[in-house]
Amino acid sequence: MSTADDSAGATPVQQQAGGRMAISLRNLWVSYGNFDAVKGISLEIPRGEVFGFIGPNGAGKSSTFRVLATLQRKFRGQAYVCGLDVLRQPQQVRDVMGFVPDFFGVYEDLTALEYLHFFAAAYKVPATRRKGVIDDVLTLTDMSHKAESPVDGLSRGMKQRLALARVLLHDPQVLLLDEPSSGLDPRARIEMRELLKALKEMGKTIVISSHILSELGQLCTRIGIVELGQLVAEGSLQEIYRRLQVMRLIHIRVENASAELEQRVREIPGVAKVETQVDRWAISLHEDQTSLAELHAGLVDAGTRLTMFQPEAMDMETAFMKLTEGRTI
Amino acid sequence: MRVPRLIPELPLLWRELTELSARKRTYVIRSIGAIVILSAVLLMLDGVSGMAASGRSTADRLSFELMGVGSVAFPRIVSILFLAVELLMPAFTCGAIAMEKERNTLGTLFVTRLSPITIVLEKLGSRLIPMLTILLLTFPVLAFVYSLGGVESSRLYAAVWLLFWESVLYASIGLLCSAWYSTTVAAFVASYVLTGFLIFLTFLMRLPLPTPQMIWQAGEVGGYWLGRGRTAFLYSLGSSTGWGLVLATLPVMVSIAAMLLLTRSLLFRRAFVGHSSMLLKIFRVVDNFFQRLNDRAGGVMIIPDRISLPGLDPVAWREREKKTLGKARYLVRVLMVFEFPVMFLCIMFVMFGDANNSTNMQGVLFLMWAITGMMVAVKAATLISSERTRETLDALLSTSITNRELLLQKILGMRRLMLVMGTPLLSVHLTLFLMHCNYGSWDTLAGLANIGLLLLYLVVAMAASWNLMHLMAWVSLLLGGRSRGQAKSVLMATILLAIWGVSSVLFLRTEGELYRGGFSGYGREYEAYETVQFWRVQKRLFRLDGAVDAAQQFLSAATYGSFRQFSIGSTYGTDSSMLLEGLVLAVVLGWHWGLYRFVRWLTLRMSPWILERSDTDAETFTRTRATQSLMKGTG
Repeated sequence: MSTADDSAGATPVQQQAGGRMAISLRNLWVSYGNFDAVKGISLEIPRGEVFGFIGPNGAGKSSTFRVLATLQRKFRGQAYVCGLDVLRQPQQVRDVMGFVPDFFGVYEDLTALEYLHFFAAAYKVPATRRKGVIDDVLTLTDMSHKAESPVDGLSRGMKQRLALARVLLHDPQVLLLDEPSSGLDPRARIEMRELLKALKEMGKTIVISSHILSELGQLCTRIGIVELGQLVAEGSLQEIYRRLQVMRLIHIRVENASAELEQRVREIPGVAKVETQVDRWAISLHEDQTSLAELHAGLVDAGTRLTMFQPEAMDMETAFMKLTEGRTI
Repeated sequence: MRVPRLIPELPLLWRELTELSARKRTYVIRSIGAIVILSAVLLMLDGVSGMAASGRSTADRLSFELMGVGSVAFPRIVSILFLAVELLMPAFTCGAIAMEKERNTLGTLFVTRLSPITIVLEKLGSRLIPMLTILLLTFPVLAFVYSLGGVESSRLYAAVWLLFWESVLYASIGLLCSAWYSTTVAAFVASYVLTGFLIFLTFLMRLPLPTPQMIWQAGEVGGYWLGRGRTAFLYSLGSSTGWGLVLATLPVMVSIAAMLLLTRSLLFRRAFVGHSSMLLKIFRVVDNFFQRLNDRAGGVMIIPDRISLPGLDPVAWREREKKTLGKARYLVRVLMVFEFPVMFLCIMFVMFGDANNSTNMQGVLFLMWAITGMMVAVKAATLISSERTRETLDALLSTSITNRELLLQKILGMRRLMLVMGTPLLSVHLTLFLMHCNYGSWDTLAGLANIGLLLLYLVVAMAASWNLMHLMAWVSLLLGGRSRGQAKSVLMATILLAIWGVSSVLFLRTEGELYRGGFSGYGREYEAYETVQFWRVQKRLFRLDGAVDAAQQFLSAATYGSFRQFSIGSTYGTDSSMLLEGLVLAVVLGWHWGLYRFVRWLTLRMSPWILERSDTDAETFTRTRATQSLMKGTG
């Protein structure tokens, strides 16, 4: 648990930081009995950023989200949302934050409109403003045509959009979205991504966890990779690739393939490995040392007659696999 | 050579018993069950031995005078064991099949080579074994009582035999409900309603149905207890031994077999039913029927569905307007279901009953309280756990609503249900009021005073009932609010309320002893009256329904002049006695109101623990002086 002494010195600093930082975690520990789910995560997310939280199952992502959503009573360290202490000012944190959990909990006895009115009242939106606010969020989430539909009868994608509409009712500054694309079909997933982009343009700070790593790559300005309760990497995608020395894989087809030519290719600066496959060579390249254009020129200089030059897209899966080593709980 | 197995492999039974043994809840329930049964048995035994050795010291009780006491103690102990089976068995069995449905594991059982009847029988066995182990715990006591003498060995065997079949009977009822309903909570409620109905028919209405308990009871007390004209058949069954007793339990065995076969057929048919409320489905069918009737006959809908949106109390609004047991239109129907039979029974008892004997009315009141208690406890215990089960709680808790507001609004949403359940109770109290009115003496001052007292009784009884319903609701919310599953929350709340309700029986003996010990001489009456009143107050302070019971006592006192019962000829006047009785009533009512307010306060105080989230209102962070100065320094 955070104590008065822990946070006393930091509070004015935090209040200053609250101006810039949407989320601030310092040495966060969450334990369930003897099991430590989160082990000293420290993190700062500036306002207006879309931050991706990646990690295998049981890595501690949901526990961190629960702390930020004021749903975790016992934790150690400090957690601030928009400069507000999660432990001391939970009610105020709830006013500036919207949380979508990783499951679809909906009231089956309500229509979508009633559902939103219910939560608008729970968020204490003044009764006179409710109708306008609900119309706005229904339009934003493209749910207006489903307003009178029973919540129970909505598709999974629609339910997820409704959940997003719910957390926008009180116009929060920070959105915490735990696996929002989980279980959605490709169309619903693309629609959700577009919706999140719209929210990003509105200046909301979005913290999102997902297993669909390619999606986070397209959406997030920064990512954090969590494993076994620890933040193992954090930064922009390019920074993480550079730090991990993730090698780019390039597939080439050569008309004049020979052992001697293969040796010459290996000697090109930046080439780590050349693997001979059935119809091609797979070159592993340190891209921080040699760019793709330089490699192409080097291959031509080495005398290769190229019929195919196909660099593989550098992806987050590679970074994720490299960092996490599949150590799930 | 392969030796054939004498005992067949029972994988489901093995799994069930392994699961049961791994759950902490199993040991808690068993321990509580055993403690309650043994306490009741030991206290009763102490009372009986006290009677036999009246006026002697405790050490003297273990003298020859105790010889033969077994004949008195044994039937009472067995009666307690029958009651224990009726209270515990439905709780043990209601989740046997329903829990498999909730966990979506029933389908995997169907694709194995286990036949449906094997599944049913192994489930039955898995629930019978814990009950039989609890009964086994009391056997040393039975053996001790048997050693005191006065008990025929045939009665001992009969008790064991009948207790076994009583357990199987109520296990079959629970299993049947478990196969029918999709949730453990629904099965739990249904099995207790059926159990209560069976007890009401046999024990309270004394219909000669050959249940094991009735056979035992008839064998013990025979025709006197059952009343004229109902004795011959059951008494002959109850007093039979050996093969005669086996023959006597044949109808029970046939009933059990029929229920198990029905469970078997329901196992498939009701395996994948949805979680939607059965009550809601029935109401919708009724709605459609009346809608068609109105369309043809041009009728008017008295309570149409209102289109309403939440105001400042969204949680209470949802409970009130959207839940089956919240909508006014549906609650009116629930009211009809309870009110009509109660009114019918009240009218019957008024027309054909004895005005001076309200035992039957007390039976109706008991039944109504059992149903009301069950409904209020189940509803309140699942207020939070149902949100957890449906995974809606986190979304609600991340809003601006405070813990205190959430719990208060949840209980507020139950008000309509309490009003509906309170109406039949009012009918019973009103009938008692009308039965006790002395219509011939309204023109006298005494007669008017009597009417005034009876009216006061009516007000007090309803206030006590309203208070009791709220007390049960808050206790259930406190106990069940933290649980992850609905079944667990319901079990915890109802078991505690049942123990609280039943444990008051233990105190009745003390009052009885006071009567026996204190009224031998004329001069001691005054002292005894005060002592009895003191014990009554104590008993009613402890009892869950102490305030309602105090109101009943007040009715009795107001009607039959028991204010004057102990004071005629003494210096203690009627008015003073009345004042004391009124004081007793006021103290008991005040205490129970205070108890309700305390439980409410405690629940709200513990709301962060129940809802597992911190709240500014409940957990105001207090900075130490040193920290504050440090902050000033850094600021």
